[in-house]
Amino acid sequence: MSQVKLSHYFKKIDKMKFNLNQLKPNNLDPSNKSLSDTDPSQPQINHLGIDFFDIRIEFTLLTRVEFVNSEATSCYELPSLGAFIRVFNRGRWYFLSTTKVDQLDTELADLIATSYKLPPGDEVFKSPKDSPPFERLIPQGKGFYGISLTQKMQLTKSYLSVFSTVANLKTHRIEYSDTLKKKAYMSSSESFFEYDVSHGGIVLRVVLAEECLVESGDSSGVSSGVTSGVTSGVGGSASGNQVSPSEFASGRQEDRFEDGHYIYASEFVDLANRQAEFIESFKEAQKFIHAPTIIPGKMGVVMSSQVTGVFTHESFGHKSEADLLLVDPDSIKEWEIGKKVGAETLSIVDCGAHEYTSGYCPIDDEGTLAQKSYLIKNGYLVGRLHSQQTAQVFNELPTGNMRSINFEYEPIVRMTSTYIEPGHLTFDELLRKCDTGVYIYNYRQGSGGSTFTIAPHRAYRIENGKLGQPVRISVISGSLFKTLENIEGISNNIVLHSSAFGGCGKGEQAPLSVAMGGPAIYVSQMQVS
Amino acid sequence: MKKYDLLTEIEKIKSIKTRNGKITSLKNSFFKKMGLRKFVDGYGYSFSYFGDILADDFVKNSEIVLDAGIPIDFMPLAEFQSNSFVCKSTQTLNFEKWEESIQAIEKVLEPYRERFSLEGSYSVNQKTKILNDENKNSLQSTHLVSTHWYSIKRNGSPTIGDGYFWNATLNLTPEYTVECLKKILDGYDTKVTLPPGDYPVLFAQHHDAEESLFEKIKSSLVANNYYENAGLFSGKLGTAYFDERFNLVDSNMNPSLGVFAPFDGEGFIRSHSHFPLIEKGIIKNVIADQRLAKKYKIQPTGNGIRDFKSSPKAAFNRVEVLPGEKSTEQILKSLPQCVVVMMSWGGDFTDIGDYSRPVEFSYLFEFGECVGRLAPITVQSNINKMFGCELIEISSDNFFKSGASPSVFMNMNVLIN
Repeated sequence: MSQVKLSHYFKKIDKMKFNLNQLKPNNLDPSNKSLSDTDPSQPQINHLGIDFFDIRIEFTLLTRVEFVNSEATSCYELPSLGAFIRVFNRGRWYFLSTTKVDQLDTELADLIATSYKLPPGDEVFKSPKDSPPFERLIPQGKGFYGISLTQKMQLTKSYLSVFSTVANLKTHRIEYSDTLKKKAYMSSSESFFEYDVSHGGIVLRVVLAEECLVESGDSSGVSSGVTSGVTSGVGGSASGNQVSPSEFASGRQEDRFEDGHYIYASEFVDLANRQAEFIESFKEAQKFIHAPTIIPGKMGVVMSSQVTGVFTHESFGHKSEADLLLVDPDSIKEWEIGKKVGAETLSIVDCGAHEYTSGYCPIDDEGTLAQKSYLIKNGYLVGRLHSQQTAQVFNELPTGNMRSINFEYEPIVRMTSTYIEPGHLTFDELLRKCDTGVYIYNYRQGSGGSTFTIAPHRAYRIENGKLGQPVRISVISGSLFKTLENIEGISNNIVLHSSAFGGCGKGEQAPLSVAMGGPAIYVSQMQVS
Repeated sequence: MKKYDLLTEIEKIKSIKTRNGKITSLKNSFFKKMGLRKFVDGYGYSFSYFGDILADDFVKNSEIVLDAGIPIDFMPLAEFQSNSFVCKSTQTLNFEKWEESIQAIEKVLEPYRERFSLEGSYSVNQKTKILNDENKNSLQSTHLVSTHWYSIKRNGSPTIGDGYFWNATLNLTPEYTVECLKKILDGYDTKVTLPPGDYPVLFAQHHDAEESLFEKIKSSLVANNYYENAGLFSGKLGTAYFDERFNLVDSNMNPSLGVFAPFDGEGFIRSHSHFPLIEKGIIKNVIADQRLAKKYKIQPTGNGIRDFKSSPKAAFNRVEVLPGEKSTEQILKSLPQCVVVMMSWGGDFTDIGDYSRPVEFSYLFEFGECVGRLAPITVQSNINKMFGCELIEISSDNFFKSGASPSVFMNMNVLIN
């Protein structure tokens, strides 16, 4: 492997190298870091004696600010700079991730040498054809560029005033988070891209509690006979002795509700002056403090657009990731294109091209442009999410879904913005169709598999086709296939939800920024417990 | 000179992925991460960098941004001693031999490939942490974490995954892996049914058994939640809340499972690796870092958990149940019926402690014999009941005889999905 041959590439990489001084936010002028001014007369290298390689360099600047009970507990910026190299040779992938970006030439040469030392494998991958260079950089002064840590701290502080309006408040917390990520990529097939994304958000979390009287005891399994405690010693410890477990069984009980509300923006200025949203949200939260727990069982469920989003992502989105089908060729028959999997009104889409959302991914980590991919159209399976390799195996086209969470990891097939397309019913018509059941407004977490699960945050009863009182639910769950069949109503409005906190997890990689949403939907039967 | 402490983390990782017995990819990683806290006039300022930079350059380049400090008194590293902790087992690990072990394991799994597709992931991570200050006092730890993971799919099944097996050990032995996979796979094709009702339940996979079930207890026992009355068990220190056989500790040393924290992020060195949280059912302690300890006038507990990018925060190392006397096998043999959960996702608590968890894959055991696989179910209970009146027994080992927490058998309400 000649370093002379590689010099063409590393000239470009040199332009991505920053020192610590350059990493200060005010110096992050994207126009200074463009790779597009490379001399076009440079010879293009497309043969290095191996099947394929690519290099992705990422610079990320994360900012986090946190206040717990009005006290600043975190305030920092985290710059990171590293690279991921993939080599495909003799039927196997060889990966390297490193923070030593000054040594990528020797690292690549070593990786190629390794690929000749080991016996060949059985993987199949054809080097993709070259594609036009892609460049999309955020203009200077836009997004989260040029915003100082002090400004971010002050913005976060401005939301402390919300808590003075919240009744029954026990503890509170504010988290500010933003991410500015810039990627540069090149491959042995002469694909090249450079782009950046930035977004941020603020979340306010509260614990609400209020004492109430209970008529008769329900000790919920509290052990009896021992009592009370003197706190002292290490870490707030107790040596034991006297307690009155009957404090739960008689008279008084403290009911609680943990709530949170977040906002998202792709421009820093859009995070300011939104206190009213939080105040309104925490007013509604008061209704949940004394909410009863649901009696478990199967019932009708209406999901808000946010919950529809997580349902779509967890239940069907992951199922559409083609790399998960590689392990078992027999399962492809069960998941054949053209198979009917849902009602005729059901269409599901994944698309990375939605700007200003957390699912925005204009080009994936191997150079495939974002596109609108229908996964289900009018109830029929019409597509799946692909990398270059899975598209080759399935004889289909790549979809721009090969993504990694950062330079530490190899890209794998992931979602971007996933949603159900709108139907024709109003929200009230959905409630009437359900008649009796529960309405899930938002959620704490969701997870997928053949059985998917959503842990609701706020839920309400539906009685006589109308929204009723708040109710506590641990989880709703269902089988993917049955639930798709049981979607009996889809509302006519669609919302795509973004977040700067958390994201999608797959294998060892989490969180990945995605967006999800859709209309409200009515599912005729789900397990609610 | 300004006072500071500097945390440097260096990771060297090797990993191999396999699909149906064949290696599909090999990966090497090298990461350097640095986190600095400067203390000036009652404020702490954090700086971090994930990239390759010299420590002196990093310290020199970190400039204080006014208004971005966290009110905190300078707290010197709790204990200074030039230490280098090296996990002994690291010296016996030879990566090339390790590759041979992987090939051997994949070979002995061949009989299963007729019915099951298996994806394997093996990795070894050498982690070094160095915590030092402006006077070059230094604490250092180095250890290896080796994990391997199998994702299992029944051939032709329409699902994306039908089971999994995870383990952390430096000694990859084909015999042990096959023994564990037999427990997961052998009864898979025999289907049995169960009417809804109350049954003994055991979570066999330690991820399920440890992470989700203890969440409410853990969040309650962090000092600020506890003393601000924000936790479910706030005000209950000293209360016998659970069954007296239930003992829960925070462990900072379990190298085989990747827990190796001889000192915390504030340089605090614990005298005992097991810090009791619940003792004989009595809520015994809450955890605190130095900041919370000062605020609530208690002692720090060695739980100032810190990674390079943030200030230390009170958090748990690894919460473990202490073992009982009988083995898992003995307890299973004594139970007419027991639901043994092999794969489940997404369980959660309500804010008042009600718990529910959908189960994709579980076996029904009768007097210790696996009689078959159950259709998807949901198990449901309440935190007080699970570790209180509905706790059946805690075993001396766990279902897979790994280094994870012992088995906790409890009665739960089983709903049929």
